[in-house]
Amino acid sequence: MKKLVVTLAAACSIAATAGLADDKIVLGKIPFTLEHSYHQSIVEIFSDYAEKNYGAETIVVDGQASSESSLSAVENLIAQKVDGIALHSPDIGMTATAVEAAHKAGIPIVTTLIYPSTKTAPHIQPKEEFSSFRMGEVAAEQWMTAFPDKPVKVAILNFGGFEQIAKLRTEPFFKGVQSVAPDAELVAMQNGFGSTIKSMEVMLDILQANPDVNIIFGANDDMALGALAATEQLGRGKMKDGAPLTEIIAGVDGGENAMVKVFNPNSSFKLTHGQVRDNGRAEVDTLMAMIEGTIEMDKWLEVQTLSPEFDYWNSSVPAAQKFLEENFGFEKDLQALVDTQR
Amino acid sequence: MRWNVDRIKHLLQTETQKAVLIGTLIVMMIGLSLATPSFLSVTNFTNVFLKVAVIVIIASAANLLMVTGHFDLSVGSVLAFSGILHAYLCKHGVPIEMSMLITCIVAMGWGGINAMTVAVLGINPVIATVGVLFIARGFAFLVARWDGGANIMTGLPMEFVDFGRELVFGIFPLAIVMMVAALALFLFIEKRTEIGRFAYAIGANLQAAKLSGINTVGIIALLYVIVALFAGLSGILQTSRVGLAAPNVAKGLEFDVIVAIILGGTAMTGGVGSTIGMLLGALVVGFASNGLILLGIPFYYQSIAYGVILIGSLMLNQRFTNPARA
Repeated sequence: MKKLVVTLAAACSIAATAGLADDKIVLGKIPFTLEHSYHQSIVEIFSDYAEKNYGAETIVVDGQASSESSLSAVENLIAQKVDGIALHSPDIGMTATAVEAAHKAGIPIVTTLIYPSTKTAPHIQPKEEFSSFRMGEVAAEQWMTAFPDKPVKVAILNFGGFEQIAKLRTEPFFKGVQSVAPDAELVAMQNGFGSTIKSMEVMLDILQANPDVNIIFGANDDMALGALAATEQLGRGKMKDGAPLTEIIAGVDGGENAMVKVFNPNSSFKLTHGQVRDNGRAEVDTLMAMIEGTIEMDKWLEVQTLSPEFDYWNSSVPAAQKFLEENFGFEKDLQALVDTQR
Repeated sequence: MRWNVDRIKHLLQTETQKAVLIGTLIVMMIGLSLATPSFLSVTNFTNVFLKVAVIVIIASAANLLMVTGHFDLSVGSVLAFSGILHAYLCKHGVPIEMSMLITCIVAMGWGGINAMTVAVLGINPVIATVGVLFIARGFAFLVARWDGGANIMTGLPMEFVDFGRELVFGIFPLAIVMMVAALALFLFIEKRTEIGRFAYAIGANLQAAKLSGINTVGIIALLYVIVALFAGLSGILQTSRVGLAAPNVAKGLEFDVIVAIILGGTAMTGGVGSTIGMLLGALVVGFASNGLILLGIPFYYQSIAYGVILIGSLMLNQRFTNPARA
């Protein structure tokens, strides 16, 4: 009998140990929307990095670019009793509600990109405004070098009412332009809805009203590509060996489609910036630090990452190739893709 | 002279919606011509026609479908799927013409599913076509993922954009030519063929149409397949015009199509409507959107204006057609 008890105890102990070994840390990741390559890539980097560096498992729930869906995703992950949540929500008020709900359940949460209205949890912030400003500077310099007598006229496509997009992207870009061309005029700012096709249609109307627009900024690469398609339809959108002829176009994200245009000497799309890898890694590291207790989960801490800028005149194809490989899992040859462009 | 006045009165009574839309268009055009010098130009009108081309192409067929009392909410997703499929096939070595053919056949397959569920099985069109809306959209994302990304652009053959940017006779953009062709086809079907007459009969009274020996299932099914085919063609056109295929395009297109149709005077309950009315409805929306951007009005005002034009136009129609209620 005594032997049986000992055996049972040993079996229980082994089972408990095995249970602990299986008791992996589980992280919840809520991207802004899985419809976009930037967010798809950040999810992949987040999951791989958490697995390789911390042996953590990741549950991904799509935020579907909606406050309701993002909050529902947070509630879903809380119900699953995950060990930590990384949230890229579409608005500041909802982010604060999500942080409060996670804290109430005792779960660490880290937010990213969209600042919450209350600063009660660590936050990852890519410092996009520096690169946006720099792109504006470079675009204006290049235009003024090519056409010193033609006044700078800027058109911007944004996402509508996102305050953060204004702070991080559109406002710094225009300030960058003005730092070189103080008389630069912002002639149009319209919603491109983040979509290539919508942006093409809107840009056709903008160029109809303002044919002298010569610097165009899309608050993401898709919108910049839509603007490029609009200019091409009007017989514009071209450069001669990187020298501006009709306009200069800039975007944000730094994805493959944009890079191919940026390094094509005959295309007007010439600048972009972006960052995926460092954001994803910073989210995981910050979450794990909270779980391990080295960072307090209910104190504001801003972890900053950079968003490197790429342009035709100051960046190289090998650097862009490396960036794409590190950030977007790119496995092709960028130069070969550029060479196939018209 | 007397006959002319009576005739005009009769026309105003029977074609009130079109008269209201034409009046709205004239007022908008005069106002915009005075407000901005950029409005009254060939380039700008071309832009507006290009903007409404996809809506009008799909709505040409969807209008007659609504005349039968049915509608299709899956057109945006079928368009997105078709664009992605066409780009995927072209990128992976299928000749462009062959890819177009395959894409059109697959698009008709989506229409076939709608036809089966709605016309044959009698499932409510809202439920059935929303089902296809989700499935087609999901497959669009899936095909893009198979290609390794969120959208398809790099690696497409250089000639990929030629179709969408084609100028017929070196002057007319292909999208506008296709729009005119779709309109002409459905004007002909509506006025001159049994399909058109039967569609009105089905919409007016389905049971009576059945008892009269009309193949109601066949007509409704055929229209669903044509609507999907036109959505597929539009997907090819749009993707090749922009040079990039994205699975998230055309979200809400189904509402743009329905707004153009309803604004044009087609009843959601069926039996009433016309292709010309739908065209006028699409043009009112297209010119309103164009004018507001030309004037530099922020997009949220544009959204409000869009709704006001829709409700205002329908209220005016109600005021003229049913003065007792006004």
